[in-house]
Amino acid sequence: MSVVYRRYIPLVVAFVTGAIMILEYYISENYKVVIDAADVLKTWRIILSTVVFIGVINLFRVHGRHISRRRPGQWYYSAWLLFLIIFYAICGLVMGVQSDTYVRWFVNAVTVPLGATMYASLCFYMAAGAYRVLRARSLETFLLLGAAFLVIMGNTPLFPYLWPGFATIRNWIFDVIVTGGMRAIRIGVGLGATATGLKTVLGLETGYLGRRR
Amino acid sequence: MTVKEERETIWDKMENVPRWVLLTLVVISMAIPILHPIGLPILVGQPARDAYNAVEETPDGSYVVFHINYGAGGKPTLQPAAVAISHHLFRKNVKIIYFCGGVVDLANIKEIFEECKPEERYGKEYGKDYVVLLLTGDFNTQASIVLSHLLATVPKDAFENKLVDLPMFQGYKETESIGLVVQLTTSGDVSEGWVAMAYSMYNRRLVGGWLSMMTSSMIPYYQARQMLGYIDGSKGAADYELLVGEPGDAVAITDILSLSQLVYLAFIVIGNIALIGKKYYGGGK
Repeated sequence: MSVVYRRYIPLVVAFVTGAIMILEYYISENYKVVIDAADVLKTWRIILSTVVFIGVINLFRVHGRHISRRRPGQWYYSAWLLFLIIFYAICGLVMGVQSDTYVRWFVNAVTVPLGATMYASLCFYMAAGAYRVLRARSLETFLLLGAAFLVIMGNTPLFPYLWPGFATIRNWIFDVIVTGGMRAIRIGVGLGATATGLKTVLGLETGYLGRRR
Repeated sequence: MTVKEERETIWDKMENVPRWVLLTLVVISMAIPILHPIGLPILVGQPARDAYNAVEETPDGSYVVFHINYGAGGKPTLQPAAVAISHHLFRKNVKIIYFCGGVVDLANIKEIFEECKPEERYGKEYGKDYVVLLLTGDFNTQASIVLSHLLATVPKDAFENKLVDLPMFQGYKETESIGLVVQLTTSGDVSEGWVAMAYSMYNRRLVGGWLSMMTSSMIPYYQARQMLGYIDGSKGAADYELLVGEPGDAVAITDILSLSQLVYLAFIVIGNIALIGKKYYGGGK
């Protein structure tokens, strides 16, 4: 019974679910049963978003352990994190996450500036990185440097205005070299995803069932 | 025995400019245009022009789905684009379905309205000409709902109004009514997801907008005309602002881009001159 419960039922569920979602792409609207079944499955995915709670519980487990063991250099950050999770949850529940007060004080005054600060700091790393890395030490690095230099010039609004050729060169690099490379990557990823998906639906890929006993 | 220290040459100094010098110059190059806007000229790019044309060619009376999906990090880049595109859409006789997946996005949408002033400037009315939806769940579910099962699945808008009671949804025919999908996002998955959902699955016209660093992965879709045009970061947003005749934050940002990237380029040149100098004339270290 346990083999049926652990192995065969999940495989059948995966096959039926996958088959319905795939069929929806290829059949006409006359087959209403399949279309309706696919719609129901899409609605279920909304319910699955509640798994975020599992993430929160896991956070409490991991960071609760740091706090209880007073792990040096870590426990006070963990305490602050858990405090903020609880504080934000309570404020969101009491005020409502769409209320002006919540948006003004918790989103606009805290989340937005913190996010913007984190993101803005990237430009300094990029400046330092570009200065130290983009050096023509060999033929390969010379080509990389040349391409990077031309793309930066094409992306800098001032240069294409001074000479539109900078934009043309930059576009050529993107349209021919970059797109060629990206297409190859995309096709590879697509074929890989299709193969993995088919293997999962057909029961040949069973990693999601956990370790076999 | 004393070890004789090798003297630091000019090439060594150029090769190892202290990080604080570089970063200070970057800060200065950003601060100058903020304090004193320079108004450096901009050449409007083709992708933004194509995006503009796609919006312009949207049939009268059709619905435009406008997905706002960026947090604080992407806001300086994408919010000006959202404002510029909204100006364009409000001028046209189309109905706009703004939708987002979180409160940060919702706050961004409210700010778009504060800047565009659709009621005052364009005589548009909430519920009659535009609506805001706040949807939870993963992106594919959100997109699928908005493109094909909106009225059946979403009972209320972001401000608790019943969708079926709103005048703009009288005679709404779901997918068939949607003339254009516009998406501004900092997420690669969402950006590509829209190609799969809007173009491949529901055969809708699509315009995108994202951070410049995402362009290399998205450009194949534009070349294949699966995406009619796109906003390429701050530069694309500035292009769109100029195209709609509403220069704003993005145009101001391009001054910062031009000056700060000049600093980047200057230091790249300095580093390479140092490398060549050391190779031919030798360095102390």
